Amino acid sequence: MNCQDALNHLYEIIDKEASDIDAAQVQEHLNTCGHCLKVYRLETAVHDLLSEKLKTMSSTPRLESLQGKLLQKLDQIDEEARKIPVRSVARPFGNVGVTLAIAASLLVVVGAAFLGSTLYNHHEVFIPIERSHWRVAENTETPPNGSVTAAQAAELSRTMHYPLNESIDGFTLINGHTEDLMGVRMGHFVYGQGNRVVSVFVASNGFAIPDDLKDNAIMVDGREFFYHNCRGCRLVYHREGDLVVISATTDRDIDLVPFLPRHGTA
Amino acid sequence: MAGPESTQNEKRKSFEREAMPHMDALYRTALRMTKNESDAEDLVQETMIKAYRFWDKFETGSNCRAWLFKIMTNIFINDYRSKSRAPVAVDVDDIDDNYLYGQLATQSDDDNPERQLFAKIFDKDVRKAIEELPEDFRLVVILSFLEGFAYQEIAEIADLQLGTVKSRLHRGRKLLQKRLLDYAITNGYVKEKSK
Repeated sequence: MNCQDALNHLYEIIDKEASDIDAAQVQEHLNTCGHCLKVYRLETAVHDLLSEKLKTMSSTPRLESLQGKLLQKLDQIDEEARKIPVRSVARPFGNVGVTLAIAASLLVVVGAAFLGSTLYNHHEVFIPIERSHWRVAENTETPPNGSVTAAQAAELSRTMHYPLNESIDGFTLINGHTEDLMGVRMGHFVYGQGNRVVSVFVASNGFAIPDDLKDNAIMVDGREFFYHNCRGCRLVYHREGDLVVISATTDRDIDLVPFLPRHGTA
Repeated sequence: MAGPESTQNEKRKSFEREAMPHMDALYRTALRMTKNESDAEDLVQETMIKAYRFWDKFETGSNCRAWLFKIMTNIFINDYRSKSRAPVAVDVDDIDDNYLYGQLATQSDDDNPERQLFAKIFDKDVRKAIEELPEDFRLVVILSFLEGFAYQEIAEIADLQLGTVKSRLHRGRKLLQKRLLDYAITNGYVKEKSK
């Protein structure tokens, strides 16, 4: 192992991420190379100093009061949990055909029977239409059929901060446009595969997830989704910096997670 | 037989036993990310409440600490990070890998170049250097330096590729070293090496 090789492993060694073989070879090199040994010593000392200083300067002066406040809040949550009736529904979206027929005329809401697999299997809390913030009547616009041009896709992708792919998991982007929903300008992207459809709504700013959905939350892979069941359909809200509303039709086996933007790659 | 009441009690007990001990660590990371105590407290509180709501989704026996950090990171990114979404231009490529050593080691015959730097480094310098790191770098640096998470754990917590974690950590380190050295030079603890 030469000096360059040894220095390439520097941070892996300091972070204890190097393999045993690499670590042994680096050690062997350091035994014979004063220069590299000094670099290693300096970098290790800097790392230890920073870790130590970070720890000592970041203690929690009010940890106890913080814990106390949390316990009170947990009491409240426990109390609410005892009150809310939750009913379990094995298969709430029995008639997909009907759903689709209405979807053609009512676009989003009814087209949004949500049947995604990972986001599907859990208790259901249905919200009656009267309590729903979703206003069907506001939206009568039907998206034009046909595929999206590359330029349109790029424009939508830019204005909606949604990294748009022409194809996701075998689904092809068949439609993309903007529309006003719930008083907010949203991007609406439709992916299709045969007669299976996924609709993705993206509101780029200013859209707050309604408070009453807080109990209708699911966590998948550490990410949080809020769902809203209404008229036998489901809308799923997920926030990733900006709001994304996701819905799928026709197939509960569609995995919706690949359709989400990921902050790590934006 | 376990009714809803006792299930709820069980949930509460196991949450207090397994999750609450990590509040301290969550807070210190939150403090470095939000840069102020009141936001840090809010962030930790929100994280714990969310974790409690999802406690039945947490798989017993898996890494509770990493799970909590992942929840907190998501909340931070969604609600607390700077409003500007524009990527921060950071040019660290001109800092070569031996930058720190090159600056310090050749100044004297001192066998311990680190002594020159550390003798006078104050907490406030470290805090400033950390807080001035771009958020993306700061997050991985803190998760590694302060919390000691492994690269793979950081990748899962921050939803990043392993390679991205490594490169951000590397660049974050270089930036941190450069800032600290700059402070040291500005304050006269260390002489600037003539170019």
